[in-house]
Amino acid sequence: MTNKNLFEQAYTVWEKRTSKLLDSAMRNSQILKASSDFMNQQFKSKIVVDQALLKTWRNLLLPNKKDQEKTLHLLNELHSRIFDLEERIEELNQAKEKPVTKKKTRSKATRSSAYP
Amino acid sequence: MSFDVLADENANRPLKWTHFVPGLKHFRPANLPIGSTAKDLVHSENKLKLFRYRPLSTTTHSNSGPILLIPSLINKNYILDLLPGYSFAEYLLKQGHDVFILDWGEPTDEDRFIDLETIVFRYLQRCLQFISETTQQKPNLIGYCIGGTLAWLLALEKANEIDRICFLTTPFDFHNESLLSEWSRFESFDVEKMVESTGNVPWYLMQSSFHALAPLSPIRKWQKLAEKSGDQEFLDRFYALETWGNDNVSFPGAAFLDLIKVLYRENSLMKEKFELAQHSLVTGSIDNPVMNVYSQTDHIVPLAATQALKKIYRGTEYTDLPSLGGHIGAIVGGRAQSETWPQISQWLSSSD
Repeated sequence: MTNKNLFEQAYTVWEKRTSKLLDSAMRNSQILKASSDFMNQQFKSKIVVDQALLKTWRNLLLPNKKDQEKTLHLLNELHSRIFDLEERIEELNQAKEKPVTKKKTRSKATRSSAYP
Repeated sequence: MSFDVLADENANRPLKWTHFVPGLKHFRPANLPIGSTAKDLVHSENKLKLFRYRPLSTTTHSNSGPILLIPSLINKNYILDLLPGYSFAEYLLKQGHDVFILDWGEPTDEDRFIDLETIVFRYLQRCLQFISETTQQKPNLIGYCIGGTLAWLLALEKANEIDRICFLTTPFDFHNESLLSEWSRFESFDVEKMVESTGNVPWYLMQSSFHALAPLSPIRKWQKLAEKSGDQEFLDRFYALETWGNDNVSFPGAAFLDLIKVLYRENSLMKEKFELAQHSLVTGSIDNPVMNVYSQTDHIVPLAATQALKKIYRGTEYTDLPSLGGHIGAIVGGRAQSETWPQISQWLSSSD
């Protein structure tokens, strides 16, 4: 048996045992609890800092990050509503055009260029 | 060994930056034609983009509807169109299928409010409608990983607007033996606090948990790279996959909350009935033909998680397709290319 083969066999045994050990460690409830608590603490700290910053901006009568996020989200919602309305209008037009059997297809160009 | 000794040793062998930079370039070649199959943007909504591939075959499948490829939310979509000659999308096109692909885009801060309902019943549903109207045929869905779960959720309400559904390593039973399931369900993990503090869940948090699932696997990966460093085809595929594996996107906050609460903790997909925001979904409402592609050695979506589809599917046309490799290899590995892709294409072509 060559040294290389011997090393490979030894490595495979080490890999299997270490994987097993790591797997059981990562399932261990005490380890999971400790890491969850640590992460939760980090998240809580970030929330406190973020809220302090939000209040500072608000006190300066300036829009804060949350305001900007909400506004941009509402713009996206509005864009989706426009699509909803387009679809509704198309449905109504189709109902009007009956008994024309061929269904109108939406212009691809309008769709893709409507939003960059 | 102290750092002083190392410094002394290196003093005789100064770092050659002229070699280092080309070495890095060799590892992350920017000029690999990743996701390069010709396609056109046909619809967009917020960050989502829907592309339609240009045909590559002169013959078309008259008995197969268009195909919508739904990638996972966590990664970029080019895993399904990796490299020329090594692309699932390209393969389907060459078989004469009409193929569309979704690009979820990269969520920005305001997208923290986007939940699973918006993703499935607004964005995905509109794409489905768009494809049906454009092609005048019922689309077939192919969902990869969580993309398959989203396809299932949509089908629970819109089954009559879909032809066939193919699931690629898709989880259904979220109460499984995987570490991801265990961590997500661990009661001390405060997912609300996480989303409140991070907004969108950052990709690096998610990627580090995926790395922790198989912490020793990089050693084998680099060993294989060293062994096959003379094989240019292998190197191209390896670099392309590495690029994809490190090119993750963050997860919209509200959707992540739904993923953990509705799917992982409540395991809603395994229930007869469940609610997703305004939508009441009934498990038994799907009787479309389905195909379930899975791997027995998948450490992200274990066998039991994906095989659970058998329990919740009430239709009569269920096809199992085992594939070799892990979560990614089962879909884009060499064997997938020669065995799995042809079977999927054939199954899609066997529509009534």
